[in-house]
Amino acid sequence: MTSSVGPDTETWTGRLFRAGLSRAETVSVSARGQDLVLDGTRTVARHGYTIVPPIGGGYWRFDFANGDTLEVIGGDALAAALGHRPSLLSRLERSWRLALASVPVLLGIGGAAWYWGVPFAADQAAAHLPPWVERQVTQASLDLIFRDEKGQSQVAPARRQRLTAILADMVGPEPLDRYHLHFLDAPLIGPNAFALPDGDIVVTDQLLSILDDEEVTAVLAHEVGHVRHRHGLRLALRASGLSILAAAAVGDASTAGHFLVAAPVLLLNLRFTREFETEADTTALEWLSQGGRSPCTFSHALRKIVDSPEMKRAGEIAGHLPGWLATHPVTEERLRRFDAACPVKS
Amino acid sequence: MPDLVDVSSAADGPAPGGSYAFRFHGSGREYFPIWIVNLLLTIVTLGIYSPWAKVRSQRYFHEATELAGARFGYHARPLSILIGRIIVLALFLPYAILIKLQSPYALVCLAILALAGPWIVVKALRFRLRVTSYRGVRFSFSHEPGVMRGAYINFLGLPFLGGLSLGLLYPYALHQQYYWIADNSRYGATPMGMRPAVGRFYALCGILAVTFIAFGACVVAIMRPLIQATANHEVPPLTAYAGMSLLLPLYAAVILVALLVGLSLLKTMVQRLSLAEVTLSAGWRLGPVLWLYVSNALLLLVTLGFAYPWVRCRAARYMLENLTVHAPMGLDHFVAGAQSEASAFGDQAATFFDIDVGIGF
Repeated sequence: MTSSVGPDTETWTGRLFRAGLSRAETVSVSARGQDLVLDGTRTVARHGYTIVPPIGGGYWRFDFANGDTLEVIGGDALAAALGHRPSLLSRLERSWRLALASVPVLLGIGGAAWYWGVPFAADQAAAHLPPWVERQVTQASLDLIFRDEKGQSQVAPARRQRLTAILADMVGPEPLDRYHLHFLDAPLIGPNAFALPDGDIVVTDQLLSILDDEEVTAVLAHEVGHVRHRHGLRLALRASGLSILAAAAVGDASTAGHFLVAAPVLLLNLRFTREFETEADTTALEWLSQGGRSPCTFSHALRKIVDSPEMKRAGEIAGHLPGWLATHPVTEERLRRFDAACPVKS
Repeated sequence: MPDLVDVSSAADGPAPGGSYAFRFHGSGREYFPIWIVNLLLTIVTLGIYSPWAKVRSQRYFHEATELAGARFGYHARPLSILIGRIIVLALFLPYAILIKLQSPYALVCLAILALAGPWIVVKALRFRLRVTSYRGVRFSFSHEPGVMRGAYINFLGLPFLGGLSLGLLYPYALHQQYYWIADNSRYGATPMGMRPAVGRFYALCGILAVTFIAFGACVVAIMRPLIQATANHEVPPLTAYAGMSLLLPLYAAVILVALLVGLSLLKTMVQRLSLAEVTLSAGWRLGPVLWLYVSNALLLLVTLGFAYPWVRCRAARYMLENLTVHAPMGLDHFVAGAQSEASAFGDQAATFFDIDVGIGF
């Protein structure tokens, strides 16, 4: 909004607000040296005003020492005439070149944090967390699982003792009180076993009814792998870290965004789970390959679990899940290592 | 040379009264490099720059907002925001950690936070309004002695009674909170006010409650065959699982209703606000708002978050440009009130706890 009045003075239109009054006065503004001149009559010396440069747009504000405020839209040339030099920050904030160049850098930083930073930080935290934290988390899960009488296991005490002894033998020199074997009747879960962060391993009656002791031992070796590598705690921490990162990236722009953030985090969790399953398999394979034991038992156990009616049914419901949506690596792919280590079909 | 020369003769004639729509001059194109610089500096300084970033983006949005030819101003000092953030983190972090560990000590922290809450609300409102200006006149929040008592009644006492009454008093508590905020706010020396709308708050909260109950009933109806089969130690039939596919559309419907209720509450409140004879009317409609939410979420997802500047400007533009100020006597006659400082502590607490103070821009 510039208009030429005199032969040598350029003027701008501004709005003046007197200290403490909301009344707007339209004034013409010009620069005389470093002094501001309003309506050609009121002169404000350089020490009598502060320039508040715009962020982005062209809204310039001049705060006068006496409390008056002057707004000039499109006052870039006026400020320049007053001797104002834009700060480095202002110049950067207007630079599209910098902004576009930053996109791949930020993507790289974000991607690195997503794929390596968060898992690394979570694993470090898991390694340094005091043991009572794990105990606390595990106890809460156990209380939830064994909350009611429905889960009372029907497994014979003799078999329980046998399996507990096998587990104690397997973990050997590790602190014995770390591992506890729990039995759970769970028709909805079906034949399964899972490890809680602190070393509590839960096996279902449905699993024990289709597997013999040797096969259960192979499954236990896999679960011990989960405990030894602290998968429970690491997974929980990694998931929390990713949620925080995702929320930070998407910001608070829209609430709907938050619902959609959950989906990619979930997918990445699945990746972690598969990674951990493979790691636990490795532990099982190592243990089963020593001392006259056979990796074949793990293959047998897993195939029996997959062929059980409950698992078949779950498979029907889920349809054929693509690899990236599966929590466990595809069974045959998983068993290749065990089958290779399995000398003769017993 | 004197700084002051009388220029009252140059003053415009009394500005005519009338209705003015807000105008938003910001754009994603303009905000994008600002946002990028904020992000880069925040990363490089490991987060220490974030209060400065907040001030710059707040300034951008305030100064891009025009009403009747004048812009809004944001005057917070980054250092006070930084100090506030550190204090709030120290207050909130123990609770966040203890609740994750399911430690009983979390309850002690929660009690401390509940007691500190109303005090933080007052501090936050004072800060947020104090740093906002329009036409060179600052907004402010009451410093009268009774204001703290009001905060404890409305943000601790009434919600507590709401819990005791099984939620029957919650809509009233919510109404009183907004009413109290409006009643203690000022523009310059002029107090704001809100016409009560207890009935509407009850109607809207009632719709929300009925929706939640209906959703809960549907979930129970869908899950029941599964739970029964488990109880009887049977494998549930396949059809029991099929019902679960209905959960997602039901969930979407609940979100839709919640959005509608939230929007209506905001509209109810805004349209009852008054500043002397100045009032507001809002033309927000569910369709465009829903489209804004869905399209913004998709934009963010597809661009991995890089559409954030556009998303924010679109939302601001819609909300502001459908808000009209009715000023029958114009906006020229307001005068500033007594000045007082407010630290940023409360402000940070409010964003951290996500307390909706409701009258921000």
